[in-house]
Amino acid sequence: METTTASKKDQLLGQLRTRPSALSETFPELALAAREALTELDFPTTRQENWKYSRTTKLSSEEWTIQPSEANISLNEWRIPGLDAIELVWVNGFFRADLSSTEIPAGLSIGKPAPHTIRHKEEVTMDFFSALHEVHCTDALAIRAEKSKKIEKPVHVLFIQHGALPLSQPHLFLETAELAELEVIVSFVSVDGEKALCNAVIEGNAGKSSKLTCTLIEREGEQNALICRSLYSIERDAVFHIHTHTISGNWVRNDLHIRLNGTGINAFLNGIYLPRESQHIDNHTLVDHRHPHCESNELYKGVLNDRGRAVFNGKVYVQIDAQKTNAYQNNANIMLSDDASVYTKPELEIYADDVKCSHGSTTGQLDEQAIFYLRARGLGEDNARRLLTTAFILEVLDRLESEPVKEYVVELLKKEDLLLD
Amino acid sequence: MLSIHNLHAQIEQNEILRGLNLEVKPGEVHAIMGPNGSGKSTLASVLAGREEYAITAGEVTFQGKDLLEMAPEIRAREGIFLAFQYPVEIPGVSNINFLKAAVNEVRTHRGLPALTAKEFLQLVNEKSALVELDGRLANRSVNEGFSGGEKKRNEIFQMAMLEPTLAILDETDSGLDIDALRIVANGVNAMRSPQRSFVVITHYQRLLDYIVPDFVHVLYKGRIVKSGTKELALELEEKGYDWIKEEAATA
Repeated sequence: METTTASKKDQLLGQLRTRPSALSETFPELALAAREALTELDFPTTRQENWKYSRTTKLSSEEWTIQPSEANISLNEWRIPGLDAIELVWVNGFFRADLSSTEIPAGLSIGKPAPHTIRHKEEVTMDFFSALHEVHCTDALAIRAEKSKKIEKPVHVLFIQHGALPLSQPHLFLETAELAELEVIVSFVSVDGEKALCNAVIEGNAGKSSKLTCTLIEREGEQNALICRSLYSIERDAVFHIHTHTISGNWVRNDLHIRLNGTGINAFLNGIYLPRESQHIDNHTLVDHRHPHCESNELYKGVLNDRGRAVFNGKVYVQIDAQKTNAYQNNANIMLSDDASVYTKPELEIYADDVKCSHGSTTGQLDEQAIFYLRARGLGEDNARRLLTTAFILEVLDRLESEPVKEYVVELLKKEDLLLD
Repeated sequence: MLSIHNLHAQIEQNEILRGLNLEVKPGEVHAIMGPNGSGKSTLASVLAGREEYAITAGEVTFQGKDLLEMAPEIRAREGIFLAFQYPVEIPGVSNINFLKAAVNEVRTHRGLPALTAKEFLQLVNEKSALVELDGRLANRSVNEGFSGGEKKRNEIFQMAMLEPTLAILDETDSGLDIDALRIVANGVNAMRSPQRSFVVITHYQRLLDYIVPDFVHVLYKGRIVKSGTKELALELEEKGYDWIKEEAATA
């Protein structure tokens, strides 16, 4: 049937048509592929397996626009106390050199991505949002630690959403060359914003025997939506840590794909999500073991309150050559309200025959026997519940190597009244 | 101190306590014995404030106040301590942090200032020595990975830290070997004072060799059917409970 009104997708694409992409000149083939894919792709529906429990109607019903901003924004509230970091500040998806650190230590380079940068081609056309990002990427920056350099200062990337209805599509490339070490913290925040959609992509490549750590701190505004794609390729003997903390935001989707491209790799994936009120938080993770003697260890925990909803989908592939793999996955959820819901699904596909793999998934209430025990010793009921929730969450936060970052996340959770003082 | 009058309690429509009376004065140690299923643990649970039990009749006053009106944490702060028959394991919550929170809640309630970190640690050292509890256990998660004996010693350690006016020991002796039993009993005896009372619930007379009671009561079918002194416990040990049951049937 013919309709006279354009679809939501056509409206959005029509409105963005004249916007160039920060990626298309450097990666023309991918831009072409994404553009082609966009003719077919549309806002995902719950009929698609990857989106079964995450409706995108909230995203498709708004009139987003790309909005470069000159706003002068105070960063004090968003800095991590006690952390001396190189700050890279973005507003509405555009890098703002005027708000960012100017002193860059030796061994670290920050600039436009080079054409030979490793890209995750399959994911470019994975769905509507990834193609949309490629075709209308607002800005891109590559952060690279040079060979054998340990970068002592962490890099703190601040993605700020500002004003009404901005569509931010920032793109980060993280790279550690052979034997290098780099820690990157990425904060997603909202300043004087009403509604925003941030559709970010972080691509990373950890070179041989390097160490790369990425910590996501998602503090989006109450009405904001965030899609964060993290796509990593890890080389031989590298150590990779990624921590995902979803603290606020109305609708959040994290996709994390990790490819283990060599032997002897250690990859650690940790995450917490705390949906409350009517928040929706979706984590899709994929660890792809392609070579022998690698270990992946994944721990995601959720505390759900009010009408909060969460999705956890954890895929682990162990390819036929990936003998002697150790792959562990654990997802645990605590429901504090009868109206909250969680959809959790581990998916292990193992094609090698000499491996150690395990997964666990638990969902339940706080232990009433433990609450009574604590109350019988004089703790008030609220404190008893919070003490148990705190212990539950700290098991994940204790895996953060950076003490200031850990304290910062703990403070944020206390402020939200989710942790005990 | 504790006055229980005509107490009736039920769980899921089963009446367990059926008109229980008990009077405990300051400084007294009362032992409550009885066959399995007589209501011993129900009594402990009801006194501590477990919400699964419905009180259908009777009253309980503690130092002149209506105990049944109080939330479990208020009872604890007012000075009641229950040593659990099955102490709960709480992963991730450190024994020490939890105790510090508990001690300070209790102190605040009593109008005392919170302990400083130094004072608190001193108290921990002193009281853990009382039950020969390894200092390392104090830093572990509450009861997690503790042996049965360690769990019971941890209960008595907590009791010593909280300094209650009335302590209820619910089958604290079950699952203990003689050495552990002696340690637990020594901890309890060290805390006996003219102001502090104990209700010791036990299935076996053995514990009462170490914690010598002033009174022994036999609980049967939810009621105290016989009271006496420590000799009654010895008689029960020798003759079992059948004669009590017969007496109760003919009464």
